[in-house]
Amino acid sequence: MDNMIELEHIVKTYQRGAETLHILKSVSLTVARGDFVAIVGPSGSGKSTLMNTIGLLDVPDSGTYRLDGVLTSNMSDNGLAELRNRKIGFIFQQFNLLPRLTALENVELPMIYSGIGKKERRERALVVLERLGMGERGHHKPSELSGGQQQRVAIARALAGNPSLMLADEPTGALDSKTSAEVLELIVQLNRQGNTIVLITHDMHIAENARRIVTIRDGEIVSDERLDGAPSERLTEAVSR
Amino acid sequence: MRTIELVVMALRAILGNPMRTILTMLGVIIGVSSVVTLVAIGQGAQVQIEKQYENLGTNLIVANVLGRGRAQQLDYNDLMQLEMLPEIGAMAPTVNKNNSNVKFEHNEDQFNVVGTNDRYLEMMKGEMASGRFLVDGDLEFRSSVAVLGSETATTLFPGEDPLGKVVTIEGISFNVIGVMQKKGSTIGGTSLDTSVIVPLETARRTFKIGSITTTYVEAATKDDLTQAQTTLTQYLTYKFKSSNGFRLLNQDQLMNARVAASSTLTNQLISVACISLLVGGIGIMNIMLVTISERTREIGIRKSIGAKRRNILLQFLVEAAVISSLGGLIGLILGCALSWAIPLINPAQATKLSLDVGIYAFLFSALVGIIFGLYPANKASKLRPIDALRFD
Ligand SMILES: Nc1ncnc2c1ncn2[C@@H]1O[C@H](COP(=O)(O)OP(=O)(O)OP(=O)(O)O)[C@@H](O)[C@H]1O
Ligand SMILES: [Mg+2]
Repeated sequence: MDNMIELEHIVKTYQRGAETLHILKSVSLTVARGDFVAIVGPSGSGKSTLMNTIGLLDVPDSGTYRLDGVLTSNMSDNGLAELRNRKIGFIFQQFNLLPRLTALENVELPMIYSGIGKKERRERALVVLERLGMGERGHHKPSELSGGQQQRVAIARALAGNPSLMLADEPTGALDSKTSAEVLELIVQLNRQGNTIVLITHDMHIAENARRIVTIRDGEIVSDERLDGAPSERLTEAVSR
Repeated sequence: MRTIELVVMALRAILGNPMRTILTMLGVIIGVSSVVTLVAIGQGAQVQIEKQYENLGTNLIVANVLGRGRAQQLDYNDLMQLEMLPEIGAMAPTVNKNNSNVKFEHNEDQFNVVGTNDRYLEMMKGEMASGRFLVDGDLEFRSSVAVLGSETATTLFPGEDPLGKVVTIEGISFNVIGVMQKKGSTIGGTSLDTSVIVPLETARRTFKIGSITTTYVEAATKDDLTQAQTTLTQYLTYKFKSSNGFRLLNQDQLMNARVAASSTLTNQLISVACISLLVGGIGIMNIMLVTISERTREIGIRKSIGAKRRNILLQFLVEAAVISSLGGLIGLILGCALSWAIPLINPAQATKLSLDVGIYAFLFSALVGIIFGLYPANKASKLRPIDALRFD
């Protein structure tokens, strides 16, 4: 059993006044370790909601979710925080760096919460920053960096804790096309090095860099294909139903 | 996460917005510095009062006659009979004529004229600078002689020796026979330094003062104090046929009454200062709530990368505590500076700093920060990561 993500019948609703909005309607999805999945779909289809569920930032109304074999339902806030810290690296569209901290300190942050000592933290942060070509910029504040550089720092931060899963919600959404290509290339490389990646985008060109594309519409998975041609098991299942 | 890292993190957040931090701390600064200063003033006053009474013999009793009239008359010779009793060491009955005009050539001013006997000087722990004090003979012959307080002497005789000169008190001539040394402290508003002392009977007759108002009585020893007080009570009750015509106070009672009066006032002021400290705490809570709503996104980011509830709670709690204890520290320094400066500006106002009050005020301010930071910090820690992240 080497699945990183196992979602079964995930339902998420929001209450807007008297109306109940069904954002995720019984979504089931399995992602194997080392895979690179792009989730695509029109705006408002529930992509971010799905990713927040995978990232343990939000809790579904029903359904079960196993992350790296660990059942996450009924977990305490603390347990979820610890899982996020150890297993997940987030890359956000808005970078989400802390503006008062330097690049280096931002990268150190997840390691502070996992209780790694100051010296080791610093060393590891420097190594990751260097790997992303940001070794020279460690002492810059986010505001002193370009968008592409900020996203590199954010990726470094996501990598610093050595997570098993990287989640990226429109990571190039705030970047120009040249830097977008660079950041995307980085993500592809990370996958080649063995990281499991879930990437959300509404740009098919970007999605084509993944190994697998899952399309979501109105809170339902409507297609799921492997880019090497072979359709994934899930889709066949869905089609045959 | 280690505490030191939390404190460093809090300091950085605080220093990131120095103006707001100072405004937030202001309440605590004012609160702590006024508590420290007021306590220093209160304790200074107490020390001053204690020092004044230390100068008196510890076995002194002051007998005050209340009210006037024939029934309240005490006879000097009758009173002095009491000196025969073993428990009584010495007696100095006095008559007073406050704010009398005393004049030498062109110099004149108002002084307190005291008519008394030869025992008075020793009982007031006064000493002569020159000449002599009253003697038995002065009383017996009702001589017109005067002993001057040090300030009286310098006012009437600037750069001149008063001995042997003639001063007029309310128009009547007196020979100056002695000048007392400077004493400084005052008891019950009368100071030896600004007085003119004349023989008791002379004063009564010349100035038409009817009755002996205050009598200083010294018990033979400290152990005789209670007995002496009982004797005096019995004697005066018998004389006045009532126990409400007089009041006896020993030195401790006199001192305690004054200490109590001065500390009541200080305590009231201190409680006002404590209220301002609490108001400062509410100010901290207010700013922390604003800070948290401004930094909701930061909280979301921290949670998304693995911050637990207690990490966030501690972060903001430490921030509030650091702000308030920093304010407390500044308040403490300011309070010490004020306590040090006040006696320089107004020499009559003594102050006494006490370390423990400073430490308590500082700890209290830190506590205020923790208590008032608890609610905002708890609120921050309970934010759901997704809500906090989506916030902008
Ligand atoms: N807290 C909320 N309360 C109510 N409705 C919400 C809430 N969060 C999301 N929604 C709704 O859920 C739907 C799906 O939102 P989601 O962010 O998952 O879409 P998305 O696929 O990521 O869209 P986009 O491509 O624009 O980012 C939207 O219609 C949105 O309005
Ligand atoms: Mg989205």
